[in-house]
Amino acid sequence: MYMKRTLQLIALLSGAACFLGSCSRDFLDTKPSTSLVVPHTLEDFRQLLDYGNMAYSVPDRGEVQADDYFITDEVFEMYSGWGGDYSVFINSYIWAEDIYGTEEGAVSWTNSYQKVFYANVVLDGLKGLEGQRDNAEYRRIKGSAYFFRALGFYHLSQLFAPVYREETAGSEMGLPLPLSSDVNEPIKRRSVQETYDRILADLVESVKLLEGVQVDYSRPSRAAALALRAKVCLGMGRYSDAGNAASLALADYNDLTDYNISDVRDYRKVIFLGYFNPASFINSHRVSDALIDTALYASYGDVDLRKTVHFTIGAAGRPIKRQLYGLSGTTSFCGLDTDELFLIRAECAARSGEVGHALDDLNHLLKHRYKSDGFVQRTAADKEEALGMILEERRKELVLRGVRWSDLRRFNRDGAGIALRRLIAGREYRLEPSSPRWVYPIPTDEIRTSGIAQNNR
Amino acid sequence: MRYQYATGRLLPKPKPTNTISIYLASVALLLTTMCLYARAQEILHIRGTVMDSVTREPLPGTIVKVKNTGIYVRTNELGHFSLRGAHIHAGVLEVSNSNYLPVTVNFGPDSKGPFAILMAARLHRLEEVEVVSTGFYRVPKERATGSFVHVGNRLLSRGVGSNVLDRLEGVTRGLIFNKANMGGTRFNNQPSISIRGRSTLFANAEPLIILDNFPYEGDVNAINPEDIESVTILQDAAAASIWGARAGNGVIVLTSKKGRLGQPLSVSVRGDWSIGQKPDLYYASTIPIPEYIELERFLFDQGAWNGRINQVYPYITPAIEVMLAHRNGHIDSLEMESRLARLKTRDVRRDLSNHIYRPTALYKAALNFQGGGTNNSYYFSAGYDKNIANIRNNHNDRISLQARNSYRFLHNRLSADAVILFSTAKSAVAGQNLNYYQVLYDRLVDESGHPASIGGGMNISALRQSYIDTAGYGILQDWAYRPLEELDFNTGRTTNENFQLQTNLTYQLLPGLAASASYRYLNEQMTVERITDASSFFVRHEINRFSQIDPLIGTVTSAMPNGGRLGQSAQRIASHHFRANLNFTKEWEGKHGVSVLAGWEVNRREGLSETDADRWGYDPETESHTPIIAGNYRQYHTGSLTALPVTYGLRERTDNRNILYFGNASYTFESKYTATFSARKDEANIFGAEVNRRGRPFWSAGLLWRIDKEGFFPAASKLALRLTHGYTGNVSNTSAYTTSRINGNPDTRTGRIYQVITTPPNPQLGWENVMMTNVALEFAVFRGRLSGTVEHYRKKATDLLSNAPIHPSSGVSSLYGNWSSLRGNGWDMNLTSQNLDGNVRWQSDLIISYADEKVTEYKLRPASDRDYLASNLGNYPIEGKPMYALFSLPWAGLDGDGNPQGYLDGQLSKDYTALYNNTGLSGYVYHGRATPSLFGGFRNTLHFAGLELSVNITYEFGFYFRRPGISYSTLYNPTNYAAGIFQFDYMNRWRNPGDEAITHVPRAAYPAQAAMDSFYGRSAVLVERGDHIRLQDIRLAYRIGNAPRYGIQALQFYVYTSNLGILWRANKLGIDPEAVPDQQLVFPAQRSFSLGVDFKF
Repeated sequence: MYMKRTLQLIALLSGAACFLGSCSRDFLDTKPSTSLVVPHTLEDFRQLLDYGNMAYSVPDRGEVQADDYFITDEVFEMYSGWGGDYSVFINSYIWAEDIYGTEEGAVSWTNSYQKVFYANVVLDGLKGLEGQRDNAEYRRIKGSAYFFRALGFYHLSQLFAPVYREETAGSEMGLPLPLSSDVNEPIKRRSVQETYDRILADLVESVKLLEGVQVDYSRPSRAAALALRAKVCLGMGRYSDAGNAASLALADYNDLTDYNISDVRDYRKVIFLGYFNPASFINSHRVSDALIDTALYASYGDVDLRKTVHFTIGAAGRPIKRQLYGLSGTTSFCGLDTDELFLIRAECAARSGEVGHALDDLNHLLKHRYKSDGFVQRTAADKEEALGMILEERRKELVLRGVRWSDLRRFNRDGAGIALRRLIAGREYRLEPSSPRWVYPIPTDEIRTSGIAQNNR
Repeated sequence: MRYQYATGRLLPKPKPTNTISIYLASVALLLTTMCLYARAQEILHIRGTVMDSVTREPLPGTIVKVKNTGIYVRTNELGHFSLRGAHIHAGVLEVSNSNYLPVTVNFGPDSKGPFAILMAARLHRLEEVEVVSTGFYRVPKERATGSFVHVGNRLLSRGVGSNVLDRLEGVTRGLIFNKANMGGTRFNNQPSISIRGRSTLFANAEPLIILDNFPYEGDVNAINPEDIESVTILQDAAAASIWGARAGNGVIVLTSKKGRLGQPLSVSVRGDWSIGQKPDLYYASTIPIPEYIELERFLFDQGAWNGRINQVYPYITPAIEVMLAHRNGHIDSLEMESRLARLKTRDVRRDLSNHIYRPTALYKAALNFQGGGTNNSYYFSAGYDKNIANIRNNHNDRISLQARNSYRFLHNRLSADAVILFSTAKSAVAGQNLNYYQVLYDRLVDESGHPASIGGGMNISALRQSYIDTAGYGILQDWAYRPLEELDFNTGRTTNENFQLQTNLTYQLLPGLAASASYRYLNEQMTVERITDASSFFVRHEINRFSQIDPLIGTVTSAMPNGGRLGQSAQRIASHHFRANLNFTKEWEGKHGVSVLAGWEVNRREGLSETDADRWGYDPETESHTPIIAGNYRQYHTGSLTALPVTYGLRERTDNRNILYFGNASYTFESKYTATFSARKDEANIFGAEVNRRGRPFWSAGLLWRIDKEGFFPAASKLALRLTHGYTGNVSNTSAYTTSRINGNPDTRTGRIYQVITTPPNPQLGWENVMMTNVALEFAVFRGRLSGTVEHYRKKATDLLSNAPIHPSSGVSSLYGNWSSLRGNGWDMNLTSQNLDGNVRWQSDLIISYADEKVTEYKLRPASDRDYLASNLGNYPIEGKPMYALFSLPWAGLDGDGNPQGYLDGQLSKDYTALYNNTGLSGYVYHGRATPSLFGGFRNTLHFAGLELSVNITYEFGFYFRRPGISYSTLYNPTNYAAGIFQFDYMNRWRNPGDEAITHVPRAAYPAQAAMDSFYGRSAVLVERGDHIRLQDIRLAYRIGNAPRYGIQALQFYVYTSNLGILWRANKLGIDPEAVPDQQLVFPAQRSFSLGVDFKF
C-alpha cells in the first residue's frame, strides 16, 4: 500500500515536472519592456535615421579654431577657470599643443562616429529586407544611410585628417572607417585617399538612391547628397567635379531667400539641416561671447543687408551672429544650403576661366543680399579678379557656418599662406600656415582604447 | 520543518456536538466567515494566563500540566491557556517554562480561574524558540546554518512609524539605512537599505523584500507594520540562496500575524499619536542679513548687477531695487537708507515658520481579531494611519484591511489558506518645487497680513518685482508671485491602491511528506495628479509670457489658453507567483533528522507606466481642457521665439518572467551536527540572450556544530559554530540584441517619432554573481547573562553589470555587460547582557556591524579626472577603492595674503586652473568611504514592575563628507542671489595678515576668481569625518498586568520619543553628518514625541 502510493506519486510528479519544463521555453521568449525595440522593419530604420541629435549635429571645433570671431580677455579668463570642456575650447581657440589636458573624450569625434554607426546599423539591417529593395521607401532609407555615413566621415576628415593633397593622400593618415555595425570589429586608421574615396563612393550610392526634390529639410535628398559631394570635391581641389555636383544639386533645388523681402531664412527651406553640437560655444547661449571679427564686420557695405540680417549688437556692445533661420533658442545653422552651392559653382567656374558663368551665380546671390536700390551688378576683368570677389563674398556669406576652417586649410594648401593670430591679455598666439596644428588631435580615450596613431602636433 | 504551539487536549476526543461555533461577520469586504470559539459545556474549564513576573509580558509556549496525569497544554502567544476536563475536579497545575522557575497552582470547582500566573525568570534564558522564515520554509533557529537575523514582535513594536522597514533601524545587525543626500554630495545608485555593504555597482541595489511566501513587488508603504509578526533578514548565502538571482543584496522576509488553531478570540487594539517639531530653519548658518545687504550694496556699486538691471525684466533683489530707485533719482539717500534699514530687520524664516512649516503629526490606529477553532483559524485586521507633514497642505493617509483564514480538512491532512489584503493610501503634496523665498530678507505677508509678492517665480528665469508691477499696462494677467497663495494653487495628489490575494493548499501525502501549492496575485495601482490652478503663478506666467498686446486696440491675446494645468501619470503592477513544492521531514529515534524541500516556481510581473501629456486650460469643474499646438511663439518679456510648454504622453509596459527550480535539504545528527545544502536555478526572459545564458544555478552549503552539546564543553552555557558558503545573484533587465528605444517625446523640431540605439549587441549578457562565505559563533556565558553572535563574512561579487569603455569610433560610448567585480568583507556582532535580574531587570543590547568593500574590476574612466571630485559619488568607481570614495585636492594652507595654496607636482602652487584641471587622480588625496563602515546601536532596557524603559543609541563611524566651502563666484554672482547668503564662511574669511593661522577661508577678492573657488571647494580642508553617535530614541512603557477576570489580556501605555540629537560628533563645526548645510535651507531630522496605547482582550 505504502509502496504503491509512493510509486504512483513519483510517476505523477515526474509527469508534472516534464510538462512544466516543456512549456517554459515559450514563456521566457517575451521581451521584458515595450520600450525595447530590435530594429528590423523599414519603419524602425526610418525612425533611427530621424534621430535629430544624430542627424543634424555638426562638430564645432573647426569653427572654434577659425578666424571669423574672437572672445574677450575676460571671457577667456572665465572659461579657463571653468575647466572641463571649456578648457578644451580655450586650448582649441589658441591652437595649444595639448588640446585635451585631462579631458578624455571629444563630442566632435563621438557624434560623427555615431552618425556612421547609425548608418551602419541601418545598412546591415537592410540586408535582411533585400526583398523590398525596389520599394521607394527602402531606397530612400538606404540612400539616407549612405548620406549620413558620408557626412560623418566628411566632418571628421575636416578636423582629424590632413587636408587632401593628391600627391600625399595615399600615404598620409586619414580616419578609421568602420563599415559594419559590429562594434567589436578591430579598427585602424586608413589613408587620406581611402577616406575621401569612401566618402565619394558613399555619396555615389546615395545620389543613385535618393530622390531629387528637396521635400524636407530634415531628411537627406539627392540635392543634399550632391551638395555634400560639391563640398567634398571643392575641398579636394577637384573643381570641375565640385562645379558639376553643385550644378546638379541646384537643378534639383535652388530656393534662395531675398533679404529685401524677409530678414529670416526659414530653416524649413534649407537643403539639409545642421547645427553645431548642443554643447558648442558657437551655438548655445554662449554665442554672445563669440564677437565677430572686427575687420570682417567692417567689410560689409551699408547697402549689404547681411550686415543687419546676419548680425546683431550683443550685450557687450559688439556685433555677434544673429539667429536668422527661425530655429528655436540660439541654435546656429551650419547645414547645407543653396547660397553655398551658388558660391561653389561660381568659384569653380571662375577657376576654370568661365568668368561669365561665375559672375552670373555671384550676382544672382548678391541680388538677394543687397538692398534692391543699392545693388550694382559685379563685373570682373579676369578670372583672378572674379575669383577674389567670389572668395570675399564666400567669407561674408558663410560666417560661422562651419566652412571657414576647411577653406583656410585648402587655401593654405594652395599656397595662400594665411597665418591665424589671437591676442589675449597682450600675448599673441599664432597658427602658422605650415603648422601641423591644422590637424586636430584625436581624443585621448580613442587613443587609449583602440591604440590608433595620434596626429602630430 | 515546522514548529507550532500545540494546543492541549484534555479529553481523548472532544465531542464535536458539544461545540457551538459562533460566526462573526467579516470586518469589510470579506466573504469568508470562520469558526471563532469553541466552548465546552458542563465540564470543568480552567483558564488562565502565564506572565513574566517583572515585565508582565505573556509567556507563550509555557507548559501547564495537571499534576500526576499526562494532561497538559501549552500557552498560546498571548500566554493564555485553557483546559477542559470533566473527570478531574480538583488538583494542582504545574506550570513550567525552561527560562523560568516552576510554579504550582491549586485548582478546584471553586477556583478554576481565570488565573494570572506570574513566573520568575531563571538567570539563563537559553532555548528561546525562535523560528525563522526564509519565505520558502520555516526553521528553528537552533538548526539553521545560515545567517538569519530575527526581529521579533516585541522589538518591531518598539517604534511607531508607518513603514515597517523603518522600524529595523538601529536594532538590526548588518543593516544600515542610507541617507541619500548629505549636503551638496549626491550618491549614484544608493539603495535605501544596505545589508552587509554593497554587492552590485549599477544594477538594482535594494534588498529583496518577501512578504510571507513571495517577493513583494508593491510599495512597502502599503504594508501596515501592525500586521507583521516578525522580520527575518537573510544575510548570507545559505540563508538567501534559496532566492537565487534576486538575493544578491540580501533578503528581508516579513512574516504576517496569523490566527492559530484552538486559540480563543483575541482582540488587539493599538493606537498612537505622534507630534514632531517644526524644522530648525536656523540650523544652516548664514551671513547675517545686515551684513549681506551691505555686500549687495558693494556689488551694486561695483556694477555687478548692471547686466541684469539693464535687461528690464530679470529678477533683482529688494535691496537692489531700492538702490536702483535711488540711482534713478526716484528716492533720495535718506529714503534709501531707511528702506535698506527696514530690509535688514526682516527675516523670511520667521514667516516660513509662521505660515508654511508646522509641526508634524501622525495618528495611527490598528485593530485585529484573531483566533481559531479545531479546524480553522482566522486573523482580521484594519489599520488607519494619518500623517501630517511639516509643510502646510501636505499630508497622507492609509487604510489597510486584511483577512486570513486557514482550514483543515480530511483529518487534518489537507490544509487550505486564503488571504486577502487591501490597502489604499492617499497623499497630497502642495507646492512641490516652489520657491518659498528669493532672498532671506523677503517677507511672505505684507503689513496688513495679506500674502505678499516676492517677485520672480520658481527658478533662475525669475522676474523683477518692479517689472511685473507695471508690465502689460494692466491688461496682462496679474504677474505677482505670492508663495503663500501658491501653496494652495499647486496640488499633487497621489493615490495608491494595493490588492493581494494569496492561497495555499498543503496535503499530507504520507507521514512526513507533504505537497503544497501556493499562488499569489498582487495588483497595485498608483496614480498621480498634479493640478496647477488657473490662479497659480505658474499658469499666469505661461499665459503672460506668450501674450501679445495690440497697442492700437488695447487687446491681449495669448498662445496659451486660460485655465489651469493638469498633469497625470499612473503606474500599475500586477504580479502572479505560483509555486509547487514537496516537503519531506522525518526524524529517526531522535538521532537523525532529515528535511528536504524541492519545488518549482513560475512568476510573471507586469508593469504599466503611463504619463499623460499636460492638459492646459484645465477646468476641474467640468474636467475640460484646451489642446495647445506645439510651436514657437514670441515671448512677451524677452521678445525671443520660444517653444510652447508642450509635453508628450509616455506609455511603457514591462513584463518580467521567471521560471525557477529549487531544492533544499538538511540533515541533523544527534542535534549536534547539522548540514544544509540548497540549490536553485533561475531562468528569466533576458531579451536576446543565448538560451543557455538565460538561466543560472545558485547553490549554497552550510554546517552547524553545537559545541555545547558535546560532553567536553560543560562550562559554557551555549556555544555553536556555523559555517556557510554559497552564491546568490542579481538580474539584468537589458537586452542582448542591438536594441533601440522609441523616444517618448517626438523630435522637438521635426515633430517626428524617432528611435535611439540604447545597446549594441552583447549576446554574452547574463546574471550578476555574488559569492559569500560566512563564519559565525553563537555563545551564551555566565549562565546566560551574556550572550551573542559574532559573524564574519567575505564576499566576492563578479560579473557585475556595468559599462566598459570602447573606442568611440565604434559609434557607441560604452558597452554594457558583465564586466566588473568587487570584494567585500565584514563583521556583524550582537551582544546581549543581562546586567541585573530580579525585581529590577536591566538588559543591554549592543550591535556592531563593520562592512567594507572595494571595487576590484572597473575599467571605465570619466571624461576627466575632475569628475572624481565633482560628479555624483559612485558615478565612476575606482579599482581598489569602495564604490563611494571621497577624494579631494591636496591643501597647503593660505599664504600670507590669504590666497589658498595647493600642490602641483609636489610644488606649492597658486595656479588654480592647473591645480583643478591637471592634478589628476594620482595627485588627489583619498580620504576614505563616504558611507559608514562601522555602525550599529546600543540599547538599554530597564524593567521594573510593569514599567519598561528603553533607550537606543546609534552610531556611525568610518566615513567622510565634504562640506561646501565659500565660493566667491557664488557670493558675487547676481544670478546666485538665493545661495549667496549661505556662504557663511565669508564671516570667517582671511582679513589681515596673520589670519592664515586661524582660518582656511580665502580672502575676499573682487571680482571672484572662478578657478580659485573651484580649487578651494574641492580641497582637502573641506572634508570632514562623519563619525557620530546619536541618541536615537527613548521608549517608556507601562504594562498594567493581566486581568483575565475582566477580559483584559494586556494593556500597555507607552511614550516614545525619537531623533533626540547627536551625543558626539567628530567634526567641530556642529554639523549633523546626515544634514550637511548646503546653499539653501537644510535641517536635520526633527525630534518627535509619541503617546500610545496597546490593548488586548
